[in-house]
Amino acid sequence: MNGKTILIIAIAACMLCVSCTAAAQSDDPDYQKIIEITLGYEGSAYHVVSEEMLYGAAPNLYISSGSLKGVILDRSGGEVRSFYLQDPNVAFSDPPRPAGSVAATGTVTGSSLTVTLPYLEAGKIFQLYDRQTGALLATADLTSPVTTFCADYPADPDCLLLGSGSASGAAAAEPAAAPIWMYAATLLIAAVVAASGAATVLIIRTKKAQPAKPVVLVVDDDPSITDLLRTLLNYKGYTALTAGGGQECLDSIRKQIPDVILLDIMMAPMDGWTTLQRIRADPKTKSIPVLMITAKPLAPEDVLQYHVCIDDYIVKPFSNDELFTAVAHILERKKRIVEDLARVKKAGITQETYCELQKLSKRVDVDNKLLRLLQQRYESPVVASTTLPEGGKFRAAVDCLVTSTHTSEARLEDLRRQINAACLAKGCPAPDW
Amino acid sequence: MLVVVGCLLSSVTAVYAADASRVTVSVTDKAGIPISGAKVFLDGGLAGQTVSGDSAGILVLTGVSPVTHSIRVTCQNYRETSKKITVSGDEQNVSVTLDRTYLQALTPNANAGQAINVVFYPSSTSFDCSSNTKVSNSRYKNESIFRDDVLNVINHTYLSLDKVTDASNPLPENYRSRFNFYYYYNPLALGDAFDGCSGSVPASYWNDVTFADVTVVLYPTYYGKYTNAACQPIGCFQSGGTGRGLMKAPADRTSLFIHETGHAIFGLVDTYSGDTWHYQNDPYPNLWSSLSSCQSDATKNGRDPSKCRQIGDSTSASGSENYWRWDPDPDIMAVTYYGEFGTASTQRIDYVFSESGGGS
Repeated sequence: MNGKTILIIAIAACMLCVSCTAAAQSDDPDYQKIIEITLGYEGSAYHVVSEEMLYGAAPNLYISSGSLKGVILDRSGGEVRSFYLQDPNVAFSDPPRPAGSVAATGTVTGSSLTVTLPYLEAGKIFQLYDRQTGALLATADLTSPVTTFCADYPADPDCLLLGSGSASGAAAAEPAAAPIWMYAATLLIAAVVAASGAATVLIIRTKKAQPAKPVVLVVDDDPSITDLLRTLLNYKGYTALTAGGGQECLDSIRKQIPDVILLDIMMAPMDGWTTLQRIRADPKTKSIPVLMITAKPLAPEDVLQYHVCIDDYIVKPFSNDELFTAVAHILERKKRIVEDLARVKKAGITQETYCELQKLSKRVDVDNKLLRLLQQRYESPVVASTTLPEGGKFRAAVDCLVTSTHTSEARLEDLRRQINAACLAKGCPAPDW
Repeated sequence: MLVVVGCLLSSVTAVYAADASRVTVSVTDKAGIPISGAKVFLDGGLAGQTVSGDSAGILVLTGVSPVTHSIRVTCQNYRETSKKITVSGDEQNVSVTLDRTYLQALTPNANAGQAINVVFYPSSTSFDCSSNTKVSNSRYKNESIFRDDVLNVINHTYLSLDKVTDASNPLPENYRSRFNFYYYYNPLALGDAFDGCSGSVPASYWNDVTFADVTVVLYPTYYGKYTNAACQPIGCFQSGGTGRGLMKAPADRTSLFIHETGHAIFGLVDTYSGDTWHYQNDPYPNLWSSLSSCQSDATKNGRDPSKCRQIGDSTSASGSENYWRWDPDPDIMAVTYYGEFGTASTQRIDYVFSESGGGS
C-alpha cells in the first residue's frame, strides 16, 4: 500500500467519521434543544411576548391535554406535530369548597402561557387554536429564535445542518466558521507530527453555496405589527428582523444592511419620515430600498418632500398578498438590475447610464402610485368640501408628481431607445422593459 | 492507524485560522475544586472534555479564531453554564464555575420526550385548619424527609395505579416504567403550596427544568383536625403551558393526590357539579357535553350507554349542568376523597400511556 493509497483511505475514513459524529451528536442529550414561546393574555387575546431557543429537554407533547390546541407547521403550512394544552386561565381546585370557606382560589384570569416545544428542524410556525371553536388564537414564528440561537452556537450540529448561524462573531470574521458548512463536503487532511507522536488535524470545509434569504427589516412601534409582519415574512421565506422605532432601525442597519426596510410612518419619538431622511443621509445606507407603511392618509407636503426617497408605499390595512407583492417587486427590481447590468455592459452601455434608467424607472413607478393615492383622496368629497387649503396643497403635490413623471418618462424613453439600439448592434438581447 | 486516531481527535482540535489562539478552559465547582470530565462546547460544537490528573479540570483549545465565541460547559450533576468570550492574543484563559444541580433523579430515566416526567418540589408552607390560615412548616427543610415523603407518595399513587383503575381495561404491564421521577431541592428556595391555586415555585426553577409534564408542589399534612368539609386538604392543578403544569397536593392524602394526577397527567375532568371547569376531554373523555355523545362513545367503547347521566342534580346548589358522565360511583374524579377510576377514565389513562412513548 503506497502513501497515496493510505491518504485516500484516511480521507474516506475521516469523512465517514465526521458524518457519524454529526449524526450521533444530534441525538446526544447535550444537544437537545427547545423553543420556548411566551404568550401574554390581554383583553381575551393572546399575543407573542417572547420566543427563545435554548439547550434543554422538552416535555412530552404526546400526553399533554386540554382545551387549547398547538400546531407546529412546516414551511409549506403542513402539520409537523399537533398537541393539546390546558388553558392557563383555568384551575382545577379540589375538593369543591363550601361557600365562605378558605378556598384555594378558583379560576385565574390574565395568566400568560409558556409553550415549550422540542426543536424540530421542519417546524417553522407555531399556531395556537381554541379546540372547541377552532379559532386561531396566536401565531408565532419559529425561525427567528433558531436564527438567534445559531448565531451564538454556529457549530451546533443542528445549526450546521441548517446552514444558519451567519450572525455569529466567529462566522462573520472567519471563513472557516462560516454558516453553510456541509458535512458531506468535508475534506480532511491529516498531518502527522512525528516528534510528539500525536496527530494534528486540520479541517478544511468546503462552502456550499445556498441562496441567502433576503433580509427584511420591519420598523414599527407597535409590537403586534412587528410580530405579525415578522411571522408572515419568515413564513414566506424571508429573514425578518424587527425594530421598535426609528433609532432602533438606524442602529440595526449600522450592524446589518437589510435588503428591504418596511418603515412605519407614525412612530414616536422619531417618525418614519425623519428615519427615512437619516437612512438616505448616510452613504452606507442610502441605497437600501424603503417601503413606507402607514395607516395615516398620505399628506401632500410629505409627498413633495419625500417622494424621491421611497421605493414603495402601502396603506394599512393591507392584505398579505399586497405586502408580499410589494416586497417581491422591490427585490425583483434589485435582482433584475444586477442581471441586466451585466448584459447591457456587454453592449457597451455604461453603468451610469443604466443606473440612471433604473432610478428613473423606479421613480416613475413610485410617483404613479403616490399620484393614484393622492388623487383618490383629493377627489373624495370629504376633503374637497371641508379642507380647501389642504386641497390646495393636494393640487400642488399632484401637479408636482405629474410634471416629475412626465419629465422622467421622456428621459426614460430616450434611455431605453439608446440601450435597445446598443444591444441590437451587438446582437445581444435587450432588457425586458 | 495514526490517521484514524487523528480522526477521532477531530472533534477535539479544530484549526480554524492561521492566526488562531490557544484558549485554556478551566472548569471548577463553587469551592474552586477542578471538575474533570466536563464537556466543553465551542460555539455549540463539542470541543472536548476537561482532563483529570495534574491538569485536572483543564481543556486546552488550540486554533481558536480571534473573534467572539460561546463556551458552553455541561457535566452530570451540575447545572450547565454558557458564556461569551472574545479571543484576542495568542493565549487566553477562561474560567467556568459550575453549580451543583438541584434536580435529583429518582428513577433510571427514559428520554423525556417519550416518558411521563414528574418532578416533586417541596413546600415550606402548609395550612392550619384551626386558624384557617397558611402556616410555615419546617418538615421539608430536611431533604431526606422530603425525599422519603416523595418516595412514599410515588409508591402509593403512580406505581399503584393498577389498584385504582378498572381491571377489565388493564394498564400496560410496564406502565410503571413509563414514568421518570425527580425531585428538585434547593434548601434556600422552597416552594409555597398556598400561594395561588396550585402553589408557586421560584421562577428560576423553570429555567432548570424545561421538560416536566407535571411539577408537584408537595406539602405536608394539614395542621388541626379534618373536622368538616371546609378543612379538608386541598389540591389543585393549573397549567401555564407545556412543561409548566403545576399541581399542589398533600403528602398524606392518597386519593386526593390520585385525583389531581387524573387532571395533571391523564387529562381527566372533574365529574362533580360545582365550582370547577368542565369540557369534553376528547379523545376517550370521562365527561361529555351531550347525552348523545356520551351514549355513542359508550357504545363505541363497549360500555352500556344507558349508564350515561347528567352531572349534578336539581337539589344541589349548582343544579344540573349540561355535561354527562359515565363512570360509576364512587368515581374518584367526582368524589376526590376516595373512589376509583371507572372504565371510561381508565380507557383515557390507557390512551395516555399508549401515547406516552411517542404516539400510537
